[in-house]
Amino acid sequence: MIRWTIAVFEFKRFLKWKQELMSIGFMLLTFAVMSAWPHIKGFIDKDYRVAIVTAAQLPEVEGFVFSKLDAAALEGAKAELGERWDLLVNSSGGSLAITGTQSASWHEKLTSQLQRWYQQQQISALPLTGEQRQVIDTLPEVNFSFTKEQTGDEQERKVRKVVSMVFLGLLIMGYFASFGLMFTAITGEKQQRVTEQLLTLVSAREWIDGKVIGISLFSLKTILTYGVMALLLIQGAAMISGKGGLSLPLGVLDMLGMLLFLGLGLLMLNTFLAGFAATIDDPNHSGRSMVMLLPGVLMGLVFAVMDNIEGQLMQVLSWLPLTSFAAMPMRIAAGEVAWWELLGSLGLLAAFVVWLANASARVFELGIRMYGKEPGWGDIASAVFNRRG
Amino acid sequence: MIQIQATGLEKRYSTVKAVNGVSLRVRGGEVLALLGPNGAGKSSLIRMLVGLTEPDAGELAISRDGKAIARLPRESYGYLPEDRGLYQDRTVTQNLHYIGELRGLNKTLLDTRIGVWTERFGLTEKRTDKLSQLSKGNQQKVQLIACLLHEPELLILDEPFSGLDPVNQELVVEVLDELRAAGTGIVLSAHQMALVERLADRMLLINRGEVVASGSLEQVMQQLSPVESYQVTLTPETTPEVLMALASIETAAVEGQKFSLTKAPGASLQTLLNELSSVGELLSFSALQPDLHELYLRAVGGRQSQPGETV
Repeated sequence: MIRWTIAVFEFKRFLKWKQELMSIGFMLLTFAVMSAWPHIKGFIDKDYRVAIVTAAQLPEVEGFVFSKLDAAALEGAKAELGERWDLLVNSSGGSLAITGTQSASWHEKLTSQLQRWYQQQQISALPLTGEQRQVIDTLPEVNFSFTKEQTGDEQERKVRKVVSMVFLGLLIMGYFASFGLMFTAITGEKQQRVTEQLLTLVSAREWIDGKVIGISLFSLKTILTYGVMALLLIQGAAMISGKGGLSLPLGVLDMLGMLLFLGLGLLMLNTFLAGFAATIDDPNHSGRSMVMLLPGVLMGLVFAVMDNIEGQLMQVLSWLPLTSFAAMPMRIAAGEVAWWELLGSLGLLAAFVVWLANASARVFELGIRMYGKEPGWGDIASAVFNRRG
Repeated sequence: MIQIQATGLEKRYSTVKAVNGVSLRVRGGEVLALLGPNGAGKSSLIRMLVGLTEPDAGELAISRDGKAIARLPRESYGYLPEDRGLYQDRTVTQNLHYIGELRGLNKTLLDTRIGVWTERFGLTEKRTDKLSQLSKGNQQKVQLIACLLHEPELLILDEPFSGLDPVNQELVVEVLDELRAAGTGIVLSAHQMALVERLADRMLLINRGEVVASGSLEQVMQQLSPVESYQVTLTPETTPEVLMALASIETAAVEGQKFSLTKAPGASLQTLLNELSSVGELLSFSALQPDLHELYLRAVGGRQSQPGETV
């Protein structure tokens, strides 16, 4: 009960409704601007006027208006550069001779388009059969076949990959939210001497447990809020681009499994952060703050092997308790994972969280009562491994 | 009823012995004041009493209704730390609710008691203000309310008058007086001698971690100023040398038309009066009694203690 009271207090302490609504509003506004961007850009940007000396059909490139020009009128058109024309192109001499008033960033985009257009003109001029032209124009067809039954089509697999990437991104976001809150909360409480008052009301163990639960719930809320927002954004983007609504290719059990790993992962991260933050005396000057960023390295490791989710390294990471909270949900999102793998990894993670909770509580108790100094590394190690000094 | 009996408590931090052989007794319905300069060891002693730290040596025996217990039960006492220990980014009500809930009080009871105490301390209008918006004195009052919400049997207050103006100091004295009358045991540390003189039933003067004087106000004054001093006016006029020749007088000094005397050890007051009358007619005679403040200054300036004394 006391733990829950502390958890609720910590959760409410960091929940700022105004800021929450403002950030959601900001994201929606960003989405609206992104969706309307082509229209906005079209409205604001002018089309560049390009005169081309050619006998062939004019190219079509968005943002440019092309006009045919006689070779004889080319010299006269140069005098009109910057007024009537933005660029002059002469394709009559076996290459593209481009003349402008000065170098500009849009030239690069246009150049590649003109090269392709001109290449097509040259291929058309070759004495080729229709079949030969098709071979040149079309990429070879590729057909995969698999001996095992596949779940979902290619589109679904792409969406699954996106989901696993989004999951890792949200997890990193949740971790940094936890890091910030736990760091400022505990070092602040030590500096404002809230600790003395609280430790006469609750035990150090009750306090750290309540704090970890409260801030983990807050991080979970952050992840879920932004997860839903990300889903809406992806859906919106898909609908605007004409692909129609995307359905989430995850079953209830998949999502439940991911949530379990996520929940335990957040508890593990916050347990570590709470225990270690208590050993920091002055957050502005202590070099120990960097240690609290270590879990970020673990997530970075998972990120590094994300391009091969089915690979052996990802399988190893999905079993290690230090990384399974990030790696296993990605495997779940990417495809099927055997039930025994899920249970085994989950069991290992749960056992590790229990051990870490006990170790962190000992470190917390050691550090939270210290003012003006920090416990030595030897003292911290003794507390972690419960060696009495 | 909670009782604490501390015997020969010692606490060392690094190379400093913060508390050295301090003994004391805390009972219900009594105010025990801990006096001493900054760094004397008062807060270290208090931290041991509330269980925040363990003594390195000595015995701390706690009993409730005559039954020995290992440590003070959380619901039985209220602790006011020397530093303000509440959340600056939370409002007065949020802070008090949190503390009250951790003490196991339900919301209805908490609302009632928060209402009563904030009104008593003149904080009704400030209930929705964040702690950081309050003055130092008002924060101190909120902190004090946090100690009182659960109606504890024992109050342990480390500098409760810190940051309070004289009006609010009087208010706190009044509240503490009422609580004592209701049977609450109170241990407090303070520097305001005038308030301590009025409030404390017993006191413990500590310097450099050791007891300098202890007991009731009279006992402490007796310990700190064992020499009895008087001021007299005599006619016809005389000299200090004549007075010092008397057996009952140890020292004599002239101050204008008056003489300040100290009585010789063992001499009775009657003997002194008789001998003075033999020198001349006594026009005035009064005892010179320095106040606690003066004695305190004298004591922490020099005298060392007798460790092991129990107050």
